[in-house]
Amino acid sequence: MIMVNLDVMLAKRKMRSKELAERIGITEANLSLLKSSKVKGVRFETLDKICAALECQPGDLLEYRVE
Amino acid sequence: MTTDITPHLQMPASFDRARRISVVIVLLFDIVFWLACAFVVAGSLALLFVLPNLAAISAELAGTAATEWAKYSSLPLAGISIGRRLLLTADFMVAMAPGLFILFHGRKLFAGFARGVVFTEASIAHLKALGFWLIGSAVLGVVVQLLFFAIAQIRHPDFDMHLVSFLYGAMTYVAAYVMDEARRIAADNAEIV
Repeated sequence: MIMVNLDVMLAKRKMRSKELAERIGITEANLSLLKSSKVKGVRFETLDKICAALECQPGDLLEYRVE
Repeated sequence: MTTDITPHLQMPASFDRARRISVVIVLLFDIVFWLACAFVVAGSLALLFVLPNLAAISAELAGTAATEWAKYSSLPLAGISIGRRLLLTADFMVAMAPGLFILFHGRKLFAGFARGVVFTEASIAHLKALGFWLIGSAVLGVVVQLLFFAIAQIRHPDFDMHLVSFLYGAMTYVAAYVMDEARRIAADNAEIV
């Protein structure tokens, strides 16, 4: 399954979820669901904004794990 | 997996008017539904108990009814036995049933609109049921007419096909099906951030 390592990147960048949510223009509730990998998909647009805000690559945020 | 990712839809102010109209429509559905229920009960009782006692009520009424009946049926009015009356009552109730279901689902649909429930599984299910029973009323209409002609021994049956109900029902059902697909797509999209 695909895991979202947003928590790790947020910690590395010392950024709070609220700030990231404001920067990329999504609700904190949806960001929380994304962090816990409880979404069906991520738009390239959202991924692009997250990567820009956290100065990282998509590969830093997404990881495949065997269930 | 599908917790609260769907944002609560903010209905425009104009929707308030639609909600108020829906409240009135629900009231009308309520009135018509209960009147129809009363009609079904009264009609059934009349078929079972009033028909055989017409002579006891009024000789003139019985004579007129028998004469009118003889114009259409080869079965004398006095020859309608309890068995036939029961069959006629059952036939009458089956004929009325789709109408009651249509009113019931119509009421539920507009009650949902009045509460602001529009594109949900429940409202679409009621719309589908509405379409289904409109089609059902057309199909059952044919069956009950055939049964009525047979039970009452009608000489020259004048058949009514209810094609308009069938077409409206089919269109309503297809519209509900398309709405359901759109709702599923919207629900899927809502889980993509």
